[in-house]
Amino acid sequence: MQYPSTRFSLNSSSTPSAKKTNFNSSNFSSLSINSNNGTYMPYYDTYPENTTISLELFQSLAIERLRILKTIEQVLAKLNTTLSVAPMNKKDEIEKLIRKELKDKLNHLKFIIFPSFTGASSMDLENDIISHYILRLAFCPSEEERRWFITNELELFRYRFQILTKAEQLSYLNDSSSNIKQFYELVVDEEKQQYKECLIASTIIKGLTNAATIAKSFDSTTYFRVRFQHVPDLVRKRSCFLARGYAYVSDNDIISFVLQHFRMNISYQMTCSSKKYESFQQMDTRIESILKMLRKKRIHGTHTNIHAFNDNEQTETITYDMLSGLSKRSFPLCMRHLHEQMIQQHHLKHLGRLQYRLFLKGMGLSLDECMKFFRHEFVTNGSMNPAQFEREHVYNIRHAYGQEGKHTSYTPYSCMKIIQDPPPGVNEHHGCPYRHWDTQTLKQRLTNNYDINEETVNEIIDKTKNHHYQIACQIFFEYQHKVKNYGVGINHPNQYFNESRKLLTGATTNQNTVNTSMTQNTPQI
Amino acid sequence: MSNEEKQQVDETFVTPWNLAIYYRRIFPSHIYCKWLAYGEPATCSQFAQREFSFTLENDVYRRYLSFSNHMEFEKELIKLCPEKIDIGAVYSAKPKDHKMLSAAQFYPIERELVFDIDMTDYDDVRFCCRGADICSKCWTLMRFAMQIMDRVLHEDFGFEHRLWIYSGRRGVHCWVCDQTARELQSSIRQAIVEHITIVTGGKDSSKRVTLYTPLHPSLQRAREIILTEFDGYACLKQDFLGDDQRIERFLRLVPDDNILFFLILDRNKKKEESINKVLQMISPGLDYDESKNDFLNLKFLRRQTLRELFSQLTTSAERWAAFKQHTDAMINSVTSSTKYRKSAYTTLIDEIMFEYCYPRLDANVTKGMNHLLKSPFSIHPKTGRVSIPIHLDSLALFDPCKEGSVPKLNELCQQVEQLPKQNLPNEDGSGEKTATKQKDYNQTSLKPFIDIFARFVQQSQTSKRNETLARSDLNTMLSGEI
Repeated sequence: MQYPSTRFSLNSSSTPSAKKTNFNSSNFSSLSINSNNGTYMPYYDTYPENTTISLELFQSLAIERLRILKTIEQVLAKLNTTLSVAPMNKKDEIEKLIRKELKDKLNHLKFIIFPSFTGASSMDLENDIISHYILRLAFCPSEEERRWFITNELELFRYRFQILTKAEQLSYLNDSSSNIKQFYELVVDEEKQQYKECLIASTIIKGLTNAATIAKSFDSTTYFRVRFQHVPDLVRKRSCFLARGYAYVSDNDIISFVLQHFRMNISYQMTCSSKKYESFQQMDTRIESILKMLRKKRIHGTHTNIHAFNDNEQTETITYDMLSGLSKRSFPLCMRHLHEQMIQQHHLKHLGRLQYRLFLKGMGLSLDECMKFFRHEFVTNGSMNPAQFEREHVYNIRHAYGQEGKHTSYTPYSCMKIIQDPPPGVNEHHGCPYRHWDTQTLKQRLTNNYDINEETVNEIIDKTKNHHYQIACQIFFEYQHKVKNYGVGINHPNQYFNESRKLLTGATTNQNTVNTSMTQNTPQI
Repeated sequence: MSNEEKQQVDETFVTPWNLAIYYRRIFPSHIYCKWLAYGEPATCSQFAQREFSFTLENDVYRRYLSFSNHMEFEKELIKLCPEKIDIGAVYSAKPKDHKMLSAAQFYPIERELVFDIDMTDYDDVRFCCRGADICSKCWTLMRFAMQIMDRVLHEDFGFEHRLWIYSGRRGVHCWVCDQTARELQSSIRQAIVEHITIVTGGKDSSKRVTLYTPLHPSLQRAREIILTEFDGYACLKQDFLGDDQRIERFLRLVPDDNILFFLILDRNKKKEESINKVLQMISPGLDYDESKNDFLNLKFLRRQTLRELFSQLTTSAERWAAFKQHTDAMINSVTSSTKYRKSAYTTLIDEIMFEYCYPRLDANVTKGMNHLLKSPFSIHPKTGRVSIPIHLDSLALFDPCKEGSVPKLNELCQQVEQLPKQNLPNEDGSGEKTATKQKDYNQTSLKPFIDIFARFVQQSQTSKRNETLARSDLNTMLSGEI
């Protein structure tokens, strides 16, 4: 099959035609291999034209790459981390798991995950780039798919880049076939010495690295000068020296810059592509069906257990006066805390409101009931005047239920989102207790407010210390419901709630007449 | 503030009549519009696609207003007479048409990098006022915040055009107007906020500042700034160790020593001897009584020691000095083999100063491009004060609590009403009107602030040419061109 150039020209706006190279297999390799021992990283800023590829290969390349991305996504979700935040020892674990999952499952793209000592052939490189561009094409139309694709391509990129040796990384940065060279300067010795103290002080993150060790390796460290916009990760963590808009990045951290470069290119180009995609009429039906299949395949499997919880599955009708009772029995700690704060303070700050409101929606509280609840707390019990409530809150509540603005029905937050979102600030109560409370507070509250026995508290604390927040939540769940090894991983507050109701209402139907104490608190289930 | 009180304040300060005079004769709309056009012609998209929001009488909000040029802006301003003006982002299309456009057609493209610092966020570390109230004492916090932030924005991020504004009530805003700043993506704005933010966590966390030695250069600078005034501020103005409640609040920041830790390190000595040695070190005069076996209770020793130490002293200054001495002694007494423990003390004094004084930002205002922020020269509806620019050189001195430091709406109106009759605006010729208007505010107490603003606008436009270079740099990167 002739590779139709128009299809990939979707991206042509961002790649000036003069720079396009007409590829064939032979000159392809000369352009892209950038190290001697054959380990190889592509830039993905040019794509092959006038290359022929069979439809079968087209399809299997795309499926393989999708498999890689999905595996990475699953492994990271399972370990509840990302490669960018994971500490060193965990990175090895992640890499091992990825390799284990993909063992014997790859053919054309095997070298991406299992680089061989002999290096990649020119065919491999072409497959790498083609598969990347097929998925770009498949996932460019919708924003959510774009974000998914970019997130996981970035993780893949990171996985590959950190396997490279320092010399290989440098040669990647130094390759004249990419525009990356325009965006950094090497810091000359004179400047390096001038800023010595600042550079050393900025490299020490959270006291993990010793000042003396860094000072020792200072002379052999290469520093790069880049615009601060190009290393947001380092700016955020306060782990690079900043002067007049430039960030000084050591060769250990340069991956942040490389990734940001990759991210900006890819996200800009895909946004451009998406705008053209809509107007793109004469798509070959065979290609179109493959792209459709890819989109379907992405959702299938990975997302079966991550339910959107946009509509409540429960059959029980929930009214707002039931919330206090329910919160004690069936809310995860994050929501229970928000509820208690709401009752105590008669107010929640913006992010707390968002998190709690969507959870309430997800558990099936109707718009009317939700409105009643907020009005009751803010106005009746609190000190807000009714006019202010109408003005500032009615719209937002309706908005969350998809009744205002874009009319999108917003999805309740998953654990992943709650854990990764900005931590609660002063007087804020959103977030994940296991992630955002300090150990002392968590311990104290679990013991005093929630009556958890010491053994369980210690178990929970232990998990949070090892960053297993969702497992800590599960232990809380098991304790609360007096079950052991309940085989459902908690990955969504609404899932927690639904599982809880399943257990508890199951109990009430069985022991309908016996269990009167329960029906007092949760009427009419 | 009760409703009745509010009513009273409204009547005294902000009346539609006063506002009408203000917008017609005092509000510097031509400089204002020049600012938001950033050197582009009057009818440019910069200005025409900018979102304004007016708060009208009875708290009616009108979002997504936009004006095709300066004349239209001024006309509508006088006609609608808003109690408050907010400025939003520059959008991809005219905001007034937003209802006809889809999300793909209507999105923010540019926005000044803005910061909002609000005194209410400091309520747990100020003892003079609460909520919306401010006084000269706690205003020191805002002066710290402005000086620290301004240096970060300039020295770390290289921003040249920083406009600091007193919000009119209890806080300050900063508008960073460099071209590069206006084009920043939301994720990078967030990174900047996190770079600056040190005080994290809600009330749930007992200690919210954690520092590591050596401090990051930008924090070293912040520390220098805080040090200039900390003792005077915390001990005298706030009297932060003045009573038991404040002392308890303070002690929450002091880590409790775990005596077991020290014991492990002195393993080769006899247990009792070892415990006593440690006790002498952290709490002289206390003996460990093996018979009681109150091993675990010793955990709370340090706070208790400080409590006792403080009770023997009377003033905050003495207590703070004693605390510093005590901590220094701890740092020096701990041997090098207890480095880990030592690190908890070396940063402790800094951490406490940062907890009490370091800027606390409203992150959401900065992160989103489409967040509204109260405009300079808008009137604060509750106080009647004008949101005025603060000169960069006087960030360390400005104090809105000083009598006469911030012009009020009713004062300004009185000042223009006392002007000789011939200066009243002529309703017929609009050109003449502008000329008269200029004269009017020149004779009010708002003049110095308009001068600051005018100079700022002048400067932010002259260096535009240099910035286009940096901008093309970024755009090339975005487009992925070689």
